[in-house]
Amino acid sequence: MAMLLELKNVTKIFRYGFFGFSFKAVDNINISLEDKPFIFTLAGESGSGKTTLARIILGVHRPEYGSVLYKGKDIFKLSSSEMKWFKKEVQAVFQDPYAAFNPLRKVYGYLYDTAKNVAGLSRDEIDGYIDEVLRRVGLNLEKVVGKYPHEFSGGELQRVSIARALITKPRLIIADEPVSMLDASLRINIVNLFKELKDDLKISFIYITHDLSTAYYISDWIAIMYRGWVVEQGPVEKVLSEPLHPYTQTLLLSVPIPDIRLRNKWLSAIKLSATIEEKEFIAKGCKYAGRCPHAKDICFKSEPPTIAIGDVIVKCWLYQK
Amino acid sequence: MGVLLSVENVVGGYEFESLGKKIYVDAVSNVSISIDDNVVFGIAGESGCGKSTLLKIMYGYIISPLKVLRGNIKIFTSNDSYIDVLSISSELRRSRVWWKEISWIPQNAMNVLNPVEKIKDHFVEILTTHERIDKDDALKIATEYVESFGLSKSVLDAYPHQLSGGMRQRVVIALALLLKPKVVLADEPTSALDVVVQRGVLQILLNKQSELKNTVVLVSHDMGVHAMVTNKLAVMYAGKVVEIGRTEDIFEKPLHPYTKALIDSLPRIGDKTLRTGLAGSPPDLRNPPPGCRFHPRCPFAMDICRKEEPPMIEIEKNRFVSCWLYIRR
Repeated sequence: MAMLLELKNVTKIFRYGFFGFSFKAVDNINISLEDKPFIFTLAGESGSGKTTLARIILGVHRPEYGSVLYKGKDIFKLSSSEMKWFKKEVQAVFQDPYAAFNPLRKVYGYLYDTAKNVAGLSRDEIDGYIDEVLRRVGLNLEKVVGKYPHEFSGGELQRVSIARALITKPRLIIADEPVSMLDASLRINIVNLFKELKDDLKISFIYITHDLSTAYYISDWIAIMYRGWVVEQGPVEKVLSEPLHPYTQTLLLSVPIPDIRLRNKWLSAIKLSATIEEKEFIAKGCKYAGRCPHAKDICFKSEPPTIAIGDVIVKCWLYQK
Repeated sequence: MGVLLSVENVVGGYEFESLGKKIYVDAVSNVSISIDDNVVFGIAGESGCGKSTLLKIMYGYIISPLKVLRGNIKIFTSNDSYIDVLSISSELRRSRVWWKEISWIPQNAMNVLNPVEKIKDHFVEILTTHERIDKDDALKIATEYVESFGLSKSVLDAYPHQLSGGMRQRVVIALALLLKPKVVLADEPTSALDVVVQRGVLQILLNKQSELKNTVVLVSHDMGVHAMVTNKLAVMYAGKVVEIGRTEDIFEKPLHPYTKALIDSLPRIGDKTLRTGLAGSPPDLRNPPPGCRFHPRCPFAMDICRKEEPPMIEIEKNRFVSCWLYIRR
């Protein structure tokens, strides 16, 4: 099958200070999405590089090494007409909808601009089309026209930003923590909306989150990130029910579950680091070795290989035969 | 076990002027809760439900535009004597009550830590001002003490910004427990942390609780955290407490339609069945709806729910709910 998106050996280096303390925020990452409606989750904790990776896919950051291919084209080598096409095809939704809209500007303006400039619609088509798109996300033109961002609740405004992304009829939406700001009872509605958009409009998503429960609920595939690496990826049912990487195992066990029967397991002691951390980004061997309960000598010395076990790919010395 | 902290008919909110008109936001609306000693008491609810405001009022930390219109907060020191947190002078509250009887752990550690003071100075300051301890002894106490929170001594010489979020939060918990207060108020203490660190920090908080046998009031929006950590639970919606009970009972069989929706809307790993959330959004507390505040979103709303506010009733021992569905008329 043709590929929608391929990242090959992508590395992004950030430098701090004049004399260049540098580290790899995204370190030699390979992921790919087939060209079919698909929800791909990038999961990880803060500092794992998931947002940096999203920005690379959107073309905001240029990686130092590796390449990003969208429908076979390198997104950093697009001609200006191809760039226009790419911006229509790939859209983004961010965590904080109040930060995505200028508070002094009516939100309709954003929808109008996207319809006119990016989707290239003519003036008399625009309102009807915007109304249609807003109805997709459970709103309508009447509810939106004339309003400023603060007049919407967080859930509504996030729907508006999803509607804005839908205007260009995208093939792929990058959603970076799109529900983290929302309350639980509203969160599930937005997550359900993504599922609907995938089924009805055949849109693929890269869903970036730290929340494994919603990730399990909506996605087909999951990649677990840690300190710039993808440590494990595979079908979500497999990775989250039989995690292979020790980090995925700890992560999964630490998610607080609204089920009181799991309390004792959750309360089984874990140890936090006692001293000022930590040079994990620039560690020599495995970046997780310092915290890993299974760490062996080799883990501190050289980078673990990536090993395929069935359709799961794991980056860990434990699985080296 | 007896009542340690009693919240009695508290009405509080935010008052400010906008375009020449006085506006009052009804954040905590006639709330009564009694909290026993030696318990982890959870307060759940979504943003804007008044849970943090209630905690501030419990702490007696009332600064404009927050106003308390009615009600009492009592910390019982023995069977018949208590500290009336809201009516004592603020000097007394600072010198005698805060840190010693009741302490507060905020979501963001930097609300408590001074960015230009080393961690050790925070410990020394509390010990020297509240106890008759000189600086050298205070430092000795602090050195031993921080290790019991899984922190190394070197942390004491660091400035707050040099620590990771999880370590900072452990420092704040250590400070809050330093003078062994009977009540510890924790406002989303781990919401800014990653799940692995959250688990470790909450475990420390629980271990200390069972060691000191004090009461922790834990505010969190995360029902998962309540299921893992609390013994009793109060659920708030739009400034009202809608349900109180033992945590396991509430998760086993939520009574209030809001509590039920809140628990049902959470996806669980290993389960892909379709879940639904609540339609609509919480009411505007400048102008709350009449009757039950949940009625505009409630799938079971009846006529009376739109007109009269449901009273809080005890339907079994230790199970309270405020909903017309459970009131025979």
